[in-house]
Amino acid sequence: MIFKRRRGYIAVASIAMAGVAGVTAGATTVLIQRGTTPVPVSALNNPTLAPTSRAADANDLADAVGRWNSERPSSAPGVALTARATDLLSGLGRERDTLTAFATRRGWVCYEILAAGTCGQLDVQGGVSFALLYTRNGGTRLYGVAADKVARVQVDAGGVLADATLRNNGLYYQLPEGVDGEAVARVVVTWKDGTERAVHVHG
Amino acid sequence: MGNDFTVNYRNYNDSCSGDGYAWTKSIYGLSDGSWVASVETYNGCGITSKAHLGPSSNYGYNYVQAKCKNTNGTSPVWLRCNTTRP
Repeated sequence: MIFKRRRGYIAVASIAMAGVAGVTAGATTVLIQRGTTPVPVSALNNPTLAPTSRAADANDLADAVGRWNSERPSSAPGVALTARATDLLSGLGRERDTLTAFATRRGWVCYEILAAGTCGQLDVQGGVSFALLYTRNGGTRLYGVAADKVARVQVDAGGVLADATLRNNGLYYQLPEGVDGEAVARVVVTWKDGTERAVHVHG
Repeated sequence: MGNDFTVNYRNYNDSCSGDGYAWTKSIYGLSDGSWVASVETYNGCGITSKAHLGPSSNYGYNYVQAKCKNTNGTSPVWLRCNTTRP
């Protein structure tokens, strides 16, 4: 079955680093590896945050990223920097989920719960990238990452606008029991400068 | 319009592939036809993004099938579930 293709445009960050450079993220200065595009996610550049406690899951997603890089190198995230994988949030939701993220060399951010996830660029969609995960025991949760400029994330599900947890650049919202992911109509993102953007999801 | 519910049997979920941009979902299923886990992302199966469901051990089930679904009724996209591993 073939449908008409929807046209779209995805911007690609293209900040090339000429060599090793110091980058200030919040109060933290970190070294950026040669050829690596920095991401606007302070938590991934913060050495005070411990490495992920779920390295196997991060590596599982990184394996998928590697296949993605092989299949479509021109539009893939690039090399996964799993050595810096970090747990942004933990102990959330019905299953006490852990949200883990890592950057890629091309400046994308990959994120997962139970190894389920994807990678996104934070210069599109209002500075957030997110996914919806459903499991039998854990129900449906919306989760992802937000750029440093994001101050608030709200989820419009079933006509109710509720705040998502937003901490360490991680965002998470457990949908109420019985509410399916397809009830999520939009995600409202408020930047620190007061700008508000709505990301359409369903409906 | 816009939904492709074709089920392609496979034992390993990598991701869907598609030809456009839309909210799309990868789903794990059991032999009894029930679905135990899913992940949905913007462009989840499209040109510029992919979704990954992780190992079945994470979910406590041995899934036997997976499918892709375009969940955006206003943005048609052709989806294909490819088995990348046996």
